[in-house]
Amino acid sequence: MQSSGELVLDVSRRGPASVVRLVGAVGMVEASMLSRQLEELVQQPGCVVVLDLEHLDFMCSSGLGALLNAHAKARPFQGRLSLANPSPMVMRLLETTRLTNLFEVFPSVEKALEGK
Amino acid sequence: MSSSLSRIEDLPTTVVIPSDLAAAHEAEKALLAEVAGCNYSEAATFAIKLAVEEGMNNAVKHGSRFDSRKTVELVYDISKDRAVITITDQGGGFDPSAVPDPTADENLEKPTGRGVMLMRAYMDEVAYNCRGNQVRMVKRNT
Repeated sequence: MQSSGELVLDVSRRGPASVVRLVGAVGMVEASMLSRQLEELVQQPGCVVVLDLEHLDFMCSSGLGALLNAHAKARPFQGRLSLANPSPMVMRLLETTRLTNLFEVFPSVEKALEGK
Repeated sequence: MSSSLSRIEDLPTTVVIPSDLAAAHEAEKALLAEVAGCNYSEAATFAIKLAVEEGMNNAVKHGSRFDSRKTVELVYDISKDRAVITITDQGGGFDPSAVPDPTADENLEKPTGRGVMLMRAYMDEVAYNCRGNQVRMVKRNT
């Protein structure tokens, strides 16, 4: 478990996949920790990383930038980064920025792990 | 007596901080405490937090270019009806109309460039001064 400012990150393994539970808020202060953590996880061949957003209350554009950096770094490794359980506020943010066109968003971690 | 006290209470709050992200975050927390005391909806509170975060982030990163010898001024007037927030940096300013649309297909994967669009999407009014180093935003408590 790691924490920075208003964010707590909890990483667990589910078979070959990693589930990252985000609790709190990703603002300008917390985004760099999120970026570092995701970079470590996605730079492995065939990685599957699911972000559990159920308890994420807030995210700013720096947090979205951390997701996009991880998305780009996962690509050469044929990795997959997906999102699960966003709150209505975070979902609206993803829709406003049209990042729902880039990231798969699932209603649960289980669905995200299944990829459907 | 009560009328003059009321005028004093209604004065906007002005905070001048060194241009760094931690100081910006602390100033933002004080502003959000005032918002919390005025019964804004969850959606309006999210919008204000997001807009202040983006505005302060732009001021520190792009306006001051992380030069902590420079300052950022945050002025806010939070009432039960509306929140008025002005952020000014000491940079040279920019042309907000020249910022590429971050929702365009060709920009979707870029990790930066969403701040101005998000402020406009979430606040009721967003206006820059001519130099482009000051943004004034309004959110009504509806």
